[in-house]
Amino acid sequence: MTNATELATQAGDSDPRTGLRAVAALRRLLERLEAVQVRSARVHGWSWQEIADELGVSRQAVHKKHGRR
Amino acid sequence: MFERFTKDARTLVTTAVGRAEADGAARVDALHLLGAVVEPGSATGALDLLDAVDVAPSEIIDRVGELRRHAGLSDVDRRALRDLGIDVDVVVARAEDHHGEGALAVATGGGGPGDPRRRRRRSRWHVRFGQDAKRVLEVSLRQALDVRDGYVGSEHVLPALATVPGPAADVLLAAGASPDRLRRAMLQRRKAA
Repeated sequence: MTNATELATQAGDSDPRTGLRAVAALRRLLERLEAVQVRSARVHGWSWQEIADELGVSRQAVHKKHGRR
Repeated sequence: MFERFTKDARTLVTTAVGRAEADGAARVDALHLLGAVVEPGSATGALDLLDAVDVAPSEIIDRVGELRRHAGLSDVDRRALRDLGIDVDVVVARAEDHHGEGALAVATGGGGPGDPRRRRRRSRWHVRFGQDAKRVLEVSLRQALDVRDGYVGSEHVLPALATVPGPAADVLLAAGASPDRLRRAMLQRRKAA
Protein backbone atom coordinates (compact mmCIF):
# COMPACT_ATOMS: atom_id res chain seq x y z
CA MET A 1 0.00 0.00 0.00
CA THR A 2 2.76 2.43 0.86
CA ASN A 3 5.11 2.20 -2.08
CA ALA A 4 6.78 5.45 -1.12
CA THR A 5 7.67 4.41 2.41
CA GLU A 6 8.85 1.01 1.20
CA LEU A 7 11.08 2.69 -1.30
CA ALA A 8 12.47 4.95 1.39
CA THR A 9 13.14 1.94 3.63
CA GLN A 10 14.86 -0.05 0.91
CA ALA A 11 16.93 2.92 -0.07
CA GLY A 12 18.52 3.22 3.35
CA ASP A 13 20.93 5.84 4.62
CA SER A 14 23.32 5.68 1.70
CA ASP A 15 20.73 6.76 -0.84
CA PRO A 16 21.18 10.42 -1.69
CA ARG A 17 17.42 10.58 -2.20
CA THR A 18 16.74 10.15 1.52
CA GLY A 19 19.34 12.73 2.46
CA LEU A 20 18.10 15.26 -0.07
CA ARG A 21 14.51 14.66 0.95
CA ALA A 22 15.44 15.28 4.59
CA VAL A 23 16.95 18.63 3.61
CA ALA A 24 13.84 19.63 1.62
CA ALA A 25 11.56 18.55 4.49
CA LEU A 26 13.71 20.39 7.02
CA ARG A 27 13.41 23.53 4.93
CA ARG A 28 9.61 23.28 4.94
CA LEU A 29 9.60 22.59 8.68
CA LEU A 30 11.89 25.58 9.21
CA GLU A 31 9.51 27.85 7.28
CA ARG A 32 6.61 26.76 9.48
CA LEU A 33 8.61 27.19 12.70
CA GLU A 34 9.79 30.62 11.63
CA ALA A 35 6.24 31.78 10.87
CA VAL A 36 5.00 30.53 14.24
CA GLN A 37 7.87 32.08 16.21
CA VAL A 38 7.67 35.44 14.43
CA ARG A 39 3.92 35.62 14.99
CA SER A 40 4.41 34.76 18.66
CA ALA A 41 7.09 37.44 19.07
CA ARG A 42 4.81 40.05 17.46
CA VAL A 43 1.98 39.04 19.83
CA HIS A 44 4.46 39.56 22.69
CA GLY A 45 5.12 43.07 21.45
CA TRP A 46 8.52 42.55 19.84
CA SER A 47 9.56 45.03 17.15
CA TRP A 48 10.52 43.84 13.66
CA GLN A 49 14.08 44.97 14.39
CA GLU A 50 14.29 42.83 17.55
CA ILE A 51 12.94 39.81 15.68
CA ALA A 52 15.32 40.40 12.77
CA ASP A 53 18.31 40.63 15.15
CA GLU A 54 17.46 37.28 16.76
CA LEU A 55 16.99 35.63 13.35
CA GLY A 56 20.18 37.18 12.01
CA VAL A 57 18.49 38.77 9.01
CA SER A 58 17.63 42.35 8.04
CA ARG A 59 14.55 44.08 9.39
CA GLN A 60 13.36 44.57 5.81
CA ALA A 61 13.71 40.86 5.04
CA VAL A 62 11.69 39.72 8.04
CA HIS A 63 9.03 42.38 7.53
CA LYS A 64 8.68 41.63 3.84
CA LYS A 65 8.29 37.94 4.59
CA HIS A 66 6.05 38.06 7.64
CA GLY A 67 4.43 41.51 7.61
CA ARG A 68 0.67 41.79 7.02
CA ARG A 69 0.07 38.28 8.20
CA MET B 1 3.12 26.89 -22.28
CA PHE B 2 -0.51 27.55 -21.25
CA GLU B 3 -1.75 27.89 -24.83
CA ARG B 4 -1.75 24.10 -25.11
CA PHE B 5 -3.81 23.67 -21.95
CA THR B 6 -7.40 22.49 -22.35
CA LYS B 7 -10.26 24.29 -20.61
CA ASP B 8 -10.26 21.45 -18.07
CA ALA B 9 -6.56 21.92 -17.26
CA ARG B 10 -6.95 25.71 -17.07
CA THR B 11 -9.83 25.30 -14.62
CA LEU B 12 -7.60 23.04 -12.52
CA VAL B 13 -4.83 25.65 -12.43
CA THR B 14 -7.28 28.46 -11.65
CA THR B 15 -8.76 26.40 -8.82
CA ALA B 16 -5.28 25.77 -7.42
CA VAL B 17 -4.50 29.50 -7.51
CA GLY B 18 -7.79 30.16 -5.70
CA ARG B 19 -6.87 27.65 -3.01
CA ALA B 20 -3.45 29.25 -2.53
CA GLU B 21 -5.09 32.69 -2.24
CA ALA B 22 -7.60 31.40 0.29
CA ASP B 23 -4.67 30.02 2.32
CA GLY B 24 -2.84 33.32 2.26
CA ALA B 25 0.06 31.31 0.77
CA ALA B 26 2.88 33.19 -0.93
CA ARG B 27 3.17 30.51 -3.61
CA VAL B 28 0.97 28.03 -5.41
CA ASP B 29 2.51 24.65 -4.63
CA ALA B 30 1.98 21.05 -5.77
CA LEU B 31 -0.37 20.40 -2.84
CA HIS B 32 -2.65 23.21 -4.04
CA LEU B 33 -2.71 21.53 -7.46
CA LEU B 34 -3.51 18.17 -5.85
CA GLY B 35 -6.24 19.82 -3.77
CA ALA B 36 -7.69 21.28 -6.96
CA VAL B 37 -7.72 17.83 -8.60
CA VAL B 38 -9.99 16.42 -5.88
CA GLU B 39 -12.24 19.47 -5.69
CA PRO B 40 -15.60 18.39 -7.16
CA GLY B 41 -16.32 19.78 -10.61
CA SER B 42 -12.82 21.15 -11.10
CA ALA B 43 -10.83 18.71 -13.22
CA THR B 44 -12.93 16.01 -14.84
CA GLY B 45 -10.05 14.41 -16.80
CA ALA B 46 -7.95 13.94 -13.66
CA LEU B 47 -10.90 12.72 -11.56
CA ASP B 48 -11.80 10.14 -14.22
CA LEU B 49 -8.21 8.94 -14.21
CA LEU B 50 -8.18 8.69 -10.41
CA ASP B 51 -11.36 6.66 -10.65
CA ALA B 52 -9.72 4.40 -13.26
CA VAL B 53 -6.99 3.45 -10.76
CA ASP B 54 -9.62 2.90 -8.03
CA VAL B 55 -8.60 5.76 -5.78
CA ALA B 56 -11.41 7.73 -4.13
CA PRO B 57 -10.97 11.52 -3.95
CA SER B 58 -11.95 11.34 -0.26
CA GLU B 59 -8.86 9.21 0.41
CA ILE B 60 -6.63 11.91 -1.07
CA ILE B 61 -8.45 14.60 0.93
CA ASP B 62 -7.97 12.60 4.17
CA ARG B 63 -4.28 12.04 3.51
CA VAL B 64 -3.69 15.70 2.70
CA GLY B 65 -5.47 16.63 5.93
CA GLU B 66 -3.20 14.30 7.92
CA LEU B 67 -0.15 15.79 6.24
CA ARG B 68 -1.42 19.29 6.95
CA ARG B 69 -1.30 18.64 10.70
CA HIS B 70 2.38 17.65 10.39
CA ALA B 71 3.69 20.95 9.05
CA GLY B 72 2.90 19.83 5.48
CA LEU B 73 5.34 16.91 5.74
CA SER B 74 4.47 13.51 4.26
CA ASP B 75 5.31 10.17 5.84
CA VAL B 76 8.34 9.98 3.52
CA ASP B 77 9.49 13.43 4.68
CA ARG B 78 9.07 12.44 8.33
CA ARG B 79 10.97 9.20 7.83
CA ALA B 80 13.81 11.06 6.12
CA LEU B 81 13.97 13.50 9.04
CA ARG B 82 13.91 10.67 11.57
CA ASP B 83 16.99 9.30 9.79
CA LEU B 84 18.60 12.60 10.66
CA GLY B 85 17.54 12.33 14.30
CA ILE B 86 14.61 14.74 14.07
CA ASP B 87 11.25 13.47 15.29
CA VAL B 88 8.61 15.61 13.58
CA ASP B 89 5.93 14.35 15.98
CA VAL B 90 7.92 15.71 18.91
CA VAL B 91 8.52 19.04 17.14
CA VAL B 92 4.79 19.34 16.35
CA ALA B 93 3.82 18.42 19.95
CA ARG B 94 6.25 20.98 21.45
CA ALA B 95 5.05 23.72 19.11
CA GLU B 96 1.44 22.92 20.03
CA ASP B 97 2.32 23.01 23.76
CA HIS B 98 3.68 26.51 23.37
CA HIS B 99 1.53 27.97 20.63
CA GLY B 100 -1.73 26.06 20.67
CA GLU B 101 -3.27 23.23 18.70
CA GLY B 102 -2.46 23.18 15.01
CA ALA B 103 0.44 25.60 15.51
CA LEU B 104 2.48 24.02 12.74
CA ALA B 105 -0.47 23.08 10.57
CA VAL B 106 -0.25 24.20 6.98
CA ALA B 107 -3.36 25.61 5.39
CA THR B 108 -4.31 23.62 2.30
CA GLY B 109 -7.21 25.39 0.72
CA GLY B 110 -9.73 25.52 3.52
CA GLY B 111 -8.50 28.92 4.56
CA GLY B 112 -11.82 30.64 5.18
CA PRO B 113 -12.23 33.08 2.29
CA GLY B 114 -14.72 34.96 4.47
CA ASP B 115 -11.94 36.10 6.80
CA PRO B 116 -11.58 39.85 6.14
CA ARG B 117 -7.86 39.72 6.85
CA ARG B 118 -7.40 37.17 4.12
CA ARG B 119 -9.59 39.10 1.75
CA ARG B 120 -7.48 42.19 2.20
CA ARG B 121 -4.39 40.20 1.56
CA ARG B 122 -5.81 38.65 -1.55
CA SER B 123 -6.11 42.03 -3.23
CA ARG B 124 -2.59 43.02 -2.26
CA TRP B 125 -0.70 39.87 -3.13
CA HIS B 126 -0.06 38.40 -6.46
CA VAL B 127 0.24 34.66 -5.87
CA ARG B 128 3.05 33.12 -7.85
CA PHE B 129 3.91 29.53 -8.70
CA GLY B 130 6.37 27.71 -6.47
CA GLN B 131 9.17 25.71 -8.04
CA ASP B 132 7.42 22.38 -7.39
CA ALA B 133 4.17 23.53 -9.04
CA LYS B 134 6.13 24.86 -12.03
CA ARG B 135 7.83 21.49 -12.38
CA VAL B 136 4.47 19.70 -12.24
CA LEU B 137 3.17 21.83 -15.11
CA GLU B 138 6.37 21.25 -17.13
CA VAL B 139 6.14 17.50 -16.57
CA SER B 140 2.42 17.62 -17.54
CA LEU B 141 3.44 18.99 -20.91
CA ARG B 142 6.06 16.23 -21.25
CA GLN B 143 3.46 13.58 -20.31
CA ALA B 144 1.25 14.90 -23.11
CA LEU B 145 4.12 14.95 -25.64
CA ASP B 146 5.14 11.39 -24.65
CA VAL B 147 1.76 10.04 -25.70
CA ARG B 148 1.59 12.44 -28.67
CA ASP B 149 -1.34 14.43 -27.40
CA GLY B 150 -1.35 17.88 -28.93
CA TYR B 151 -2.87 19.36 -25.79
CA VAL B 152 -2.36 19.28 -22.02
CA GLY B 153 -5.41 18.14 -20.06
CA SER B 154 -5.87 17.56 -16.35
CA GLU B 155 -5.38 13.84 -17.14
CA HIS B 156 -1.73 14.74 -17.88
CA VAL B 157 -1.39 16.88 -14.75
CA LEU B 158 -2.32 14.03 -12.40
CA PRO B 159 0.50 11.65 -13.51
CA ALA B 160 2.85 14.65 -13.34
CA LEU B 161 1.78 15.28 -9.74
CA ALA B 162 2.63 11.65 -8.96
CA THR B 163 6.01 11.98 -10.69
CA VAL B 164 7.58 15.17 -9.30
CA PRO B 165 9.04 14.20 -5.87
CA GLY B 166 7.42 15.84 -2.85
CA PRO B 167 4.48 15.55 -0.46
CA ALA B 168 1.85 15.59 -3.24
CA ALA B 169 3.51 12.64 -5.01
CA ASP B 170 3.86 10.86 -1.65
CA VAL B 171 0.13 11.21 -1.00
CA LEU B 172 -0.74 9.81 -4.44
CA LEU B 173 1.71 6.90 -4.07
CA ALA B 174 0.44 6.05 -0.60
CA ALA B 175 -3.13 6.01 -1.94
CA GLY B 176 -2.05 3.60 -4.69
CA ALA B 177 -1.94 6.09 -7.57
CA SER B 178 1.62 5.49 -8.76
CA PRO B 179 2.94 7.26 -11.88
CA ASP B 180 3.01 3.92 -13.75
CA ARG B 181 -0.56 2.98 -12.90
CA LEU B 182 -1.79 6.46 -13.81
CA ARG B 183 0.09 6.45 -17.10
CA ARG B 184 -1.22 3.01 -18.02
CA ALA B 185 -4.77 4.07 -17.18
CA MET B 186 -4.30 7.21 -19.26
CA LEU B 187 -3.17 5.18 -22.29
CA GLN B 188 -6.04 2.71 -21.91
CA ARG B 189 -8.56 5.52 -21.81
CA ARG B 190 -7.10 7.01 -24.98
CA LYS B 191 -7.34 3.65 -26.77
CA ALA B 192 -10.93 3.26 -25.66
CA ALA B 193 -11.87 6.75 -26.79
